[in-house]
Amino acid sequence: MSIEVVPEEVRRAGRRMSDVADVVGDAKPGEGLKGLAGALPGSRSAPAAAGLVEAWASRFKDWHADALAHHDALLKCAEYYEAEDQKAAREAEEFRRQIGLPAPAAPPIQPLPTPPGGQ
Amino acid sequence: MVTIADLLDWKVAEVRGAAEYLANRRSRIADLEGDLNAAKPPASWNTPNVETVTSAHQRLRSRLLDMAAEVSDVQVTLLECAGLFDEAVKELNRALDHASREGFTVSLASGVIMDGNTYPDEAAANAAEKVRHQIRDAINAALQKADQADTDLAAALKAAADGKVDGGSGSLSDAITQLPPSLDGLDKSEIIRKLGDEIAVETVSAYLNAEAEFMKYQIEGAANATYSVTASGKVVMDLTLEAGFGMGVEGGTEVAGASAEASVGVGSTVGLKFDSVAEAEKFLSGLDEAAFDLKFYEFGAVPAAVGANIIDYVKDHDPESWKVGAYASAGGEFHVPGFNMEGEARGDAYYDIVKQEVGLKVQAELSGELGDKDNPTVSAGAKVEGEIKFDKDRAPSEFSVAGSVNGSLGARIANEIPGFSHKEGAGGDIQLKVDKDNPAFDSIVRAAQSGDMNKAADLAFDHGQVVIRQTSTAEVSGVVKDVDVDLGQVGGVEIDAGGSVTSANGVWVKPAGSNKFVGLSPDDLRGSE
Repeated sequence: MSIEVVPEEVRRAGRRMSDVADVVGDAKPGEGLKGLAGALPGSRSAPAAAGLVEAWASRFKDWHADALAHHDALLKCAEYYEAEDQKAAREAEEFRRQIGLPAPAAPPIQPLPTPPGGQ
Repeated sequence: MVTIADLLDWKVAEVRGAAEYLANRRSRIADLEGDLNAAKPPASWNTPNVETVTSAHQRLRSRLLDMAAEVSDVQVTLLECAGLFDEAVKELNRALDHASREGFTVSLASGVIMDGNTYPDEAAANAAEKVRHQIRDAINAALQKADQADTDLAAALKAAADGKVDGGSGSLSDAITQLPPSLDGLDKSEIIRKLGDEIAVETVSAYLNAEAEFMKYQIEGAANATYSVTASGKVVMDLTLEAGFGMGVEGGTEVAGASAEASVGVGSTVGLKFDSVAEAEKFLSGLDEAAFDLKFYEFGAVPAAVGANIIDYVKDHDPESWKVGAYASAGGEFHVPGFNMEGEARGDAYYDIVKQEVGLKVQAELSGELGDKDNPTVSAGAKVEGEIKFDKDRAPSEFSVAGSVNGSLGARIANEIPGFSHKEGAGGDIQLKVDKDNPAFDSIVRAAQSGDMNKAADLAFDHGQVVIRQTSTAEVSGVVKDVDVDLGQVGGVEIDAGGSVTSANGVWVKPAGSNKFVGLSPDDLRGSE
């Protein structure tokens, strides 16, 4: 089985989840219902609205926290895979030295083209 | 049960404010679809532990779908209940005013109506007792309406609090698709009664061209009548009388202190309502005869007499509206507050003599990006035309536009509404309407004031009532008939008439504040009257 993870892509997915978490955390839909209790005296809706304000507060807060935890987990995965990549590269380098292979040549540097009409 | 004192104390504007707040939150959450998808584990990640990460992402997504559905369900319910609360308060106040006029005292706590009057005889006392019962019934009906709406609202709030609103497993746009409680669980005929009564199932467009020579006078005039047969069986007609028929309003008309000029010779449009197609046809066939029903003493001013005849004939049919062309400008004929009409910017407008309203004509392009905000590749839309109405105090009161469905808008609608075809040859039209009670109305007016009619139309699509019709049109060939005008020394009148009939093959309605299209069968609509 081939194992290949691009850590930067994992990190990017994590950052998008963090963006989503911020919007959901700031949405606070229950804030818009707080005035209903005073607006509808004697109604069934007033106490029901108060219940929903509480339920949404914890539901949106929990989702925000869980999404951030997901973001953290993705970043940790990216770090882990990056560290694994570096470890594998170090081991390959060590092995190259042990068997006396020459170091891979750096790519030749190309001179910059002169822009038309340039000095 | 809600008491009279409670209901009088309810602040419905707060309920509307809550709906507006949640509409804003709903759209913020729905806009997260792209980010949420991008937060999925990347395709390059194929280690065994990716399944755990993917299922964690799916669980988060599923919970967010439910939360979005909850916000949307509460929002549409708040909006609908606010309307019902308003109606209940108005009905209650009417009943209380009636009681007061009759000299009755109503207990605001118990609802008991006391009659302190003395009556000369039993018959007068019985009559008063009958009125007292009528007022009691009216009060009870108002309280019951408020109570039912309150029960629906409380149920929606509790369902959301208990996590009982299912957001499904599709997109966030799908999850926020919620019907108001008034449509939940209704059968087909009940939905048609609620949504379909005003919808046109047949639209007839008829024209009437008249040419006549009366001695030295040459008259050419045209009348175009477009009438729609609605699901309720009523016929709504717009009769446009062109300049040749000598229509117009002399001198101008005052609109809240400003003058709406309508030059003589400018066309006007009259709105009429009939109980049946037969009545509408009878009206039209009588129009040409009435127009040329000239008296001998009118021979000196024939065109004016024809115009006067038409005006008299139409007036006799109690028009619901009578729109005369006018211009809106900053310092000119009338000024529409907030709308930039400075200098050369003169807006096409009309003044409605019957309703005393001003209408500013608008054109917009409705975006093809409907429902799915993550598809920026679809942008060109359909052109729509309509108006912003202003009431007597010149405050904006309604925004409505209509047009044909074509281009990418047709494709998007076909995507959202299974059964709607946007292929070549398949006609379709769209109507959007938002009134001043809609929470999004102020935003729509602001967009229109800033000149961004496209944004106004898109907001109207999102928040207003949307009616989409799939149609087919049949032409009715023109016929030429001679009208025998017995005027002795002058000739007859040639009337050229014809038209077309557009029939609805499919109708879909999205109620205001909702984001779900409800399909209504035209056959059922035709049979609902």
